[in-house]
Amino acid sequence: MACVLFSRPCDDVTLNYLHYYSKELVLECDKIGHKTINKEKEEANKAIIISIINKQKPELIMFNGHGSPEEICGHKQEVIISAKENPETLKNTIVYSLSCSSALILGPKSVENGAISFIGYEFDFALGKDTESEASPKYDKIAKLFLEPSNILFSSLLNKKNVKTSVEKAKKKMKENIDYLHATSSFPEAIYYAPFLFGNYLGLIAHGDNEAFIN
Amino acid sequence: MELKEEFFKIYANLPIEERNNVVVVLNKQPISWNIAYLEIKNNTKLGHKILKTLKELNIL
Amino acid sequence: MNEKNEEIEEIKKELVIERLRQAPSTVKIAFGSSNEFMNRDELIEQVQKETELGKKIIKVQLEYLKAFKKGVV
Repeated sequence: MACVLFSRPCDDVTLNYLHYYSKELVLECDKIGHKTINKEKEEANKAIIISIINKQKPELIMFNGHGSPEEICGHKQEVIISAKENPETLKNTIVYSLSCSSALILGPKSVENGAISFIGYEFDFALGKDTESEASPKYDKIAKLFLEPSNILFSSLLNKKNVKTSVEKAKKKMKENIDYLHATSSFPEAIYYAPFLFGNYLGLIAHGDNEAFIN
Repeated sequence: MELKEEFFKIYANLPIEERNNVVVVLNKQPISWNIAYLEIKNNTKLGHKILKTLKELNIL
Repeated sequence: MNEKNEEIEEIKKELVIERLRQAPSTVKIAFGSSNEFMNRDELIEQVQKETELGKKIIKVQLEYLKAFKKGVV
């Protein structure tokens, strides 16, 4: 079984949604029997995350957080991994970064510096919200359309499917959800979310070894 | 393929709700896919302008 | 040539603003490094002010429209 690290900050409304949705992945990871290291809220900071990566050497890492083409951030937008400062930190890992556009520069840079695979988004990640859910992710049927594919991707990795298969599954679900937004009459604003979900579909990419998987 | 044909092909495959959305703005006037279809189908001057602009935007 | 490019960019901006204007005010999107969900009017403001986020919104909307040509959506 593999060692899997989760970095799950939760200090704003958007991150709260990512935090909520990724909880089921933490539970699944544990249920499968992987060594599960879950660093959330204020523990999703640079010092703790880097220390764990160096000491525990996780095979698979999931980063929730804000980001940029060169950076992945943690609690209170502290930069944890930067293309300029420490891309080699991700050496020998498969990484899934649910952070805006980090696959654009940090992705290939980390692979150059030894990361097995870096899966992320080349464009800014978009998240739609149901105004009727009052910032409650649990009941937000629109956010589900955006975050469910992300969970499918990481769940696939946890279940030892390779990077290529996992990305394909996520994209397939995104496409299904876009088709749903095109066709549904259950809420009138559906069509207006479609372009943003399409941006996520277009932006999702994997750098490095597409055949990689965890044991 | 001619621009007109290309437009009709794309239009035919559009989600129904998207057809009501704006696809181009000319002289500050928003034009939906549906209005564009009518103009292009009827070979109007505006229709030609719509096709030209959609080509420039790489939508066609 | 530059003038032509500027004209195209202005057309794109107007197009995206008009597309966003059609959306109900209830639409909410968190996009980019924003830590809040933005409503329709806030998204339009970003495009109008040509912020980094506004440019990204334009890019996403145009890629979506181009995708119909490619048959991707």
